[in-house]
Amino acid sequence: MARYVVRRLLLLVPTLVGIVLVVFVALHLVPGDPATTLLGQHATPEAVAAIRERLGLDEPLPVQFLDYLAAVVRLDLGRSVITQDPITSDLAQRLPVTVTLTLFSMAIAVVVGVALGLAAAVRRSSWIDYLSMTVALLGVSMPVFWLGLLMILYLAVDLGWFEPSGLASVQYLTRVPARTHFFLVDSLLAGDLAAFQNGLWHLVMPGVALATIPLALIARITRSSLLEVLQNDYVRTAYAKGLPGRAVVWRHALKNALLPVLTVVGLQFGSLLSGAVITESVFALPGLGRYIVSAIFNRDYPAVQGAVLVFAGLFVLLNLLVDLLYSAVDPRIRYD
Amino acid sequence: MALSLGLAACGGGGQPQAGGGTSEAPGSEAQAPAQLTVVWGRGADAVSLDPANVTDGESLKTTTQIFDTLLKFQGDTTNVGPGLATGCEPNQDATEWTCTLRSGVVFQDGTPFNAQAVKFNFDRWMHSDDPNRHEGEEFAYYAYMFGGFDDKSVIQSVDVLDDTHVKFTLRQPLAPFLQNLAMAPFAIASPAAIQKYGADFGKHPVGTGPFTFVSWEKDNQIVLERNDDYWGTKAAIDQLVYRVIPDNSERLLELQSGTIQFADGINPSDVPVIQGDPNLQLFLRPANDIGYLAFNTEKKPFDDVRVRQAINMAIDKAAIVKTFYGDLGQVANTPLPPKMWGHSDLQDYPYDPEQAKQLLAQAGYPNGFQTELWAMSNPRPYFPQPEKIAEAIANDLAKVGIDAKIVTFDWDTYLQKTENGEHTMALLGWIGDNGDPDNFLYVLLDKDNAVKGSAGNIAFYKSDELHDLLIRAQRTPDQATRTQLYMQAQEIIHRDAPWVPLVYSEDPVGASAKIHGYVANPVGLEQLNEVTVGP
Repeated sequence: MARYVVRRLLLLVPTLVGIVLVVFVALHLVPGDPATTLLGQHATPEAVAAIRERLGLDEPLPVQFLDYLAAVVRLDLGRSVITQDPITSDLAQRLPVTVTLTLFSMAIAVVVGVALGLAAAVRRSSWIDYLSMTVALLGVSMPVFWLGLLMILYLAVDLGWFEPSGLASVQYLTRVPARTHFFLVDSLLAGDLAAFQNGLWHLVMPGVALATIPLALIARITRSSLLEVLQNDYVRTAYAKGLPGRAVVWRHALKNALLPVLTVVGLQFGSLLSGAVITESVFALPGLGRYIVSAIFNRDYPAVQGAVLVFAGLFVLLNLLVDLLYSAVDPRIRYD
Repeated sequence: MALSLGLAACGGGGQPQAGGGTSEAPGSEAQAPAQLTVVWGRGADAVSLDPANVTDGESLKTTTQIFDTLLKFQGDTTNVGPGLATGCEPNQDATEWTCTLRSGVVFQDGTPFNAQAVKFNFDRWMHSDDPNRHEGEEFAYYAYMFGGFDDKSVIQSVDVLDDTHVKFTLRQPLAPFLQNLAMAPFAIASPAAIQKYGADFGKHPVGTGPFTFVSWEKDNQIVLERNDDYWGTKAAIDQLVYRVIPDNSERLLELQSGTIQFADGINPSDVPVIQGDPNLQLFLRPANDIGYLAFNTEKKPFDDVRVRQAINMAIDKAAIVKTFYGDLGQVANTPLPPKMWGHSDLQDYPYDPEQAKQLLAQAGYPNGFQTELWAMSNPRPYFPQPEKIAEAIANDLAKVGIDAKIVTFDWDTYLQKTENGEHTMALLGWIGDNGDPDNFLYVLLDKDNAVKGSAGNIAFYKSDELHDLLIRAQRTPDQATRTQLYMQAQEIIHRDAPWVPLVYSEDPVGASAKIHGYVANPVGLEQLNEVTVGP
C-alpha cells in the first residue's frame, strides 16, 4: 500500500513536468507579448526592451523553460508579470475559495445525486424514477453559466433570497480579518457567526450551479449500478431469508453499488475544478478559476503556468485519493 | 423584503442587505452607527495602487480617490483647474513653470504636503537612479508623457523655491505641460510612505485625496474610507468599496438588486435596461476618443485628395453610428472629441453618394476601383464590432463603385502592420491621455509621426502647413491662442481629408437612482467626494 502511494506520487513528477511543458509551449505559440500588454498603446521601445529583459523574455525558449522548472522545484512559481506579486502566495490566497466551492458542490452532488439514484432504482419505472432521471438530464444539459445567471436573475434580483454574487456581503468581508483565506474558517476564528452564516448563504447559488453536472451523473450511475446489484443472487437470498427491503438495499446492495459511483466522483472533481473557472466568474468569487482567466487575458505567463500546475496537481491528488478509497469501500481491492 | 437603498447598514443589528440574510442572527454584535457605503462594481481588479507605476484604468480609478494631482480636470471637461497647486505661471518662453501650492495640506499619514514633497515625487519618476525607485517600477506613463527619463526627460529639474512654491525647468517648451500635471499617474504621494514601504508602496498607498486606503483583497474588493482631514470638499459617504464582478451581465444584476451603487463596463445592449428601470440611472461619460478610417495617402489612389473626399461623402456615418453604438456614440466631424477644448464645430462632408461618384470620376475613377479595407479582429472601446463596421463601410463604398475587400489581423499584428504602412485603408482609433488637442492632432496627424515602423500617423499624411500650426501651438503656453491654432488645424485636416473621422464613443456608467452629485469626466477618472446618496 505504502509502496503504491509512493509510486503514484513519483508518477506525479513527470505528469507535472509534461503539463508545464504543454502550457509553456501553448502560451508562447499564441500571438501577443506580455511587454506590450503591460505597457498598452503607450509603449516606448526602451520600456518594452526593459520589461522583456526583466522578465527574461529575451532568453531563448528552452532556457526560459529550464529556468522555470528549476524554480518550481524550489516551490518558487515566480512573480506575476502584471502585479509583481509572488505567484505562490497569490495562489495560496485563491485556492481556499476554489477548494471551499468544490467541496461544497461535491457534497451537494453526492448527497442529492445518490438519493435521487437510490429512489429511482428502488422505485424503478415509477414517477419518482422518471422525475429523477429528467432532473439528471436537465442537470447535464444546462450550461453552468446559464443556470448561474438564471438563478441570479430569479432568486437574487426578483425574489431577493440571495445576494447575486461574492464571497459574502461587503460589510462582512470588510470586518472579518483574513487569516486562512477560507472565509468560513476565518469568520469562525473571529467568532463572527453572522459573517459565517452570510458566507454559507453566499455559497448556495454557486454551489448548486456547479453541482448540477456531477449531481446528474452521480444520480444516473447510482441508479444503474444499484439496479445491477439488485439482480444479484445474494440480494435474492437476502430477500429470501426474510430481511426487510430497506435493510437489503441499505446494508447489502448500496455498499456494493457505490464503487462505480466513487469512480465518477473522482473524475467529477476534475470537472468541478474546470467548472469553477466559469462559476467563479459568474458569481464573482476570487478563486483560482478567476485567477487563471485574468492571467490568460493579461498574457501573464508565469501566473498561468503556476495556476495550471496547481490545478493539475490537485486533480492528480484527488484521483489518487479516490483510488485509495476503493480499498476502503471494497476490501477485496488491494494494491501492491 | 424592502431593500434599504442597497447601502450596507454595517453593524445595524445584522440587517440583511439584499434580503438574503434572513438567516442572520439579529443582535449578533454590538450596535454601531450606520455607515454610508457606496460600492462600485467593475470588471477587473487594480494592478497596483501606486499611480505612477500603472497604465490601466482600474488601478487609476482607485488611486484617483486616494491621491490628488497638482492640477485637476474640471467637471465633465478636460479643462484644467486648481488641485494641490492653486496655479502655475510660465516664464516668457514657457521653459519654466512656477506652481503655487496649497498650504496646510497633509498626507493621510500626517506628512505635510509641500514643495519638497512635489520635488521628491518628480525626482523619483524622472531619474532612473533615484534611490526611491525600485525594481519593477517602470513609470511608463512618465516616459510616455514627458519624453523619457534622465537626459530624455523634458523636465530638466524641479526646484523648491519655498514651502509653497516649486519651479519646473523644461528642456524645451511642452504645450500640454499643465494638462499632463492633471493626469492621474502624476499624483503626489507621501514621501514618508514611499520610503517606509519601498517596493510595496503600491499596496500601501498614501496620498492627500478624499479617501484613505483601508484594505485590498485581490480580485475581490478594495476598501477606502473618508479622509476626515481632506483639504477640499469632504466626502459625504463613509466608505467607498471597489468590487470586482467580472461578468458584465452579472454586474448589472447586482446593480438592479441594489448590492452595488455604480457599475461600469455595461454591455451596450443593456443600456435600455438601465434606462427603463426607475431605480437606476444612466450616466454617459463624454467621449475622449476618436474612431476613424485612415487612408494611406502614400498609396494610390489615396494620394489624390478627391478620392479621399469622395469616400468621406460615400460613407453614411450617421447610420453606422446609430446601428453599432445606439445612444453611446456621436458622429465625428473632426479628430477632436466634442468635450475637449479646441474642438471645432466645422461643417462635416455631407453623405452624398452622387457627389462622391462625380469626385471619383474627376479623379479618373469613373468606375471606382478595387482596394482593401483593414479592420482589427478584436473589439476596441471606439470600435465595439470592428469587422461588422468594416462591412457596413464596404457596403457604402460598393454603392459608389469601390470594391473594398476586408482584411483583419489580431491586435498586436494589426498595430505593427499599420504602423509600418502596409495597409491601404485601415480602421483605427485613439483614446486620449491628457485632454490636450496636441495629444490627438500632433500624435495622429503630424508629419513628425509619419515614420514607418512606429507611425502614430498611419495616414502618412505630411502637411507642412499643419505641422507649422501644430508646432506653433506646442510653443504657445496661452490656451486661448492655442485654441485658435487648433481650430485652423482642424480646417486643414478637414480639407485634406487624410481620414474619415467616424465616431466619438461615450462610455455608459450605471448607477442607483439614489446617487447624486456624480459627474463623469471624459478622461475616465473622477473623485467621488461630491457623491451623495439620497432617499
